[in-house]
Amino acid sequence: MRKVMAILLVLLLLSGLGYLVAGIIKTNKLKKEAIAKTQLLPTLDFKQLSGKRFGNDSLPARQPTVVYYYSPDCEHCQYEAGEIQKKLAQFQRATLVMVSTADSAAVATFAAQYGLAKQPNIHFLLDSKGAFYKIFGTALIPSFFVYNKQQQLVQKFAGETKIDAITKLIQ
Amino acid sequence: MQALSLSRKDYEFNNWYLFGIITGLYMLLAWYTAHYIIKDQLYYNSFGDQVAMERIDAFISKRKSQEWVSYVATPALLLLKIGYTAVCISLGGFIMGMEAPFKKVFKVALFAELALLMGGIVQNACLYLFQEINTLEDIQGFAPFSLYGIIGGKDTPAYLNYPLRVINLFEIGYWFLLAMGLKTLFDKPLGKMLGFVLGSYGIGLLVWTVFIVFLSINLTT
Repeated sequence: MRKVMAILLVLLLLSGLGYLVAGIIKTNKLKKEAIAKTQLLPTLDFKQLSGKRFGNDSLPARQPTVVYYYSPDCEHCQYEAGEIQKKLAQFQRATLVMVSTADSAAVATFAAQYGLAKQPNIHFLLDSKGAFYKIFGTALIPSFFVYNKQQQLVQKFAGETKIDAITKLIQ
Repeated sequence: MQALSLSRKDYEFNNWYLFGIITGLYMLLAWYTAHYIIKDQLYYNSFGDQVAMERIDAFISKRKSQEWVSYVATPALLLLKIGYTAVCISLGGFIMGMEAPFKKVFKVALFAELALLMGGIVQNACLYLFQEINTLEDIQGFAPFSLYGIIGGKDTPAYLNYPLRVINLFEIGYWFLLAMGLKTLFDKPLGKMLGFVLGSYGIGLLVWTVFIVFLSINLTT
């Protein structure tokens, strides 16, 4: 009996370890691929609040693009949204793509609350399938990916970021 | 070698007294680190380019107001840490067919904790005395007694920082203290006990380290 339990314990340990190691290898591979993929603005395929599809062809040509991954519930994201609202003029010559996994009602409320819903250069996109993580290799909220006119990645920011640090890259 | 050996008498201490002393010293170390090493200016230097000043001010205030939480959590975390080591060794004993009762092993693990505490004290003293600290990265990158100090650097992937830091002089001292404690309490040769520690606690440490790497690779950018 003791022997059987010992074998079971070892098997349990090995499976747990195997699961973790496989997860590390998989995530590491995904992140490396994402770093390569995001050097140029990757293919975006999300739904807008209106239900219409939003892809790269929805972006104006030769304009910087800021991809912002956020959550309406996150305090840092709420602060950032307030700052974006205050500094809307600095985004005039850029497109801000705001992606969230939250449901459409929460996103619509958030967009309205910060006065960003009707801005023509700000797009609220719904990521109901967790596609952002697979494309950009991060699920950290908030995250910013700043692309220049040529759609090349200029810089990415993880965590709360002052809006001036972003807008100085898109002027 | 005689000077390094321990006798059964060395293990006749009251667990809770030693636990209290170690907890107190860890708390003191945490307080010292928070007040004399991690100074407010480091946050401005580290995050000033990315985060607005008023937000850093708010973060520092919040951190100060919640500082007591880390002190309150110290005994619970220490108990879990020592308990984890004792569980690993007891389970290792069960698998390898060696009697290693949890209560006795807990005592050994509690005594061996002194090696890790010493590591924390020495590391902080060296940091204070020898390292120029301008940013938080200067603190994070300081690990002269570990494998990280030898082969780690700015180019090391973030998820490897923890495993490279785990292998350090004081951790090896911890293994030896565990082995010496088990040798003393179970009357077995030191070499055999060292092998037993590596095969039981060592596996537990490996699982823990892989778990931390798993978390860090999934939670960092």
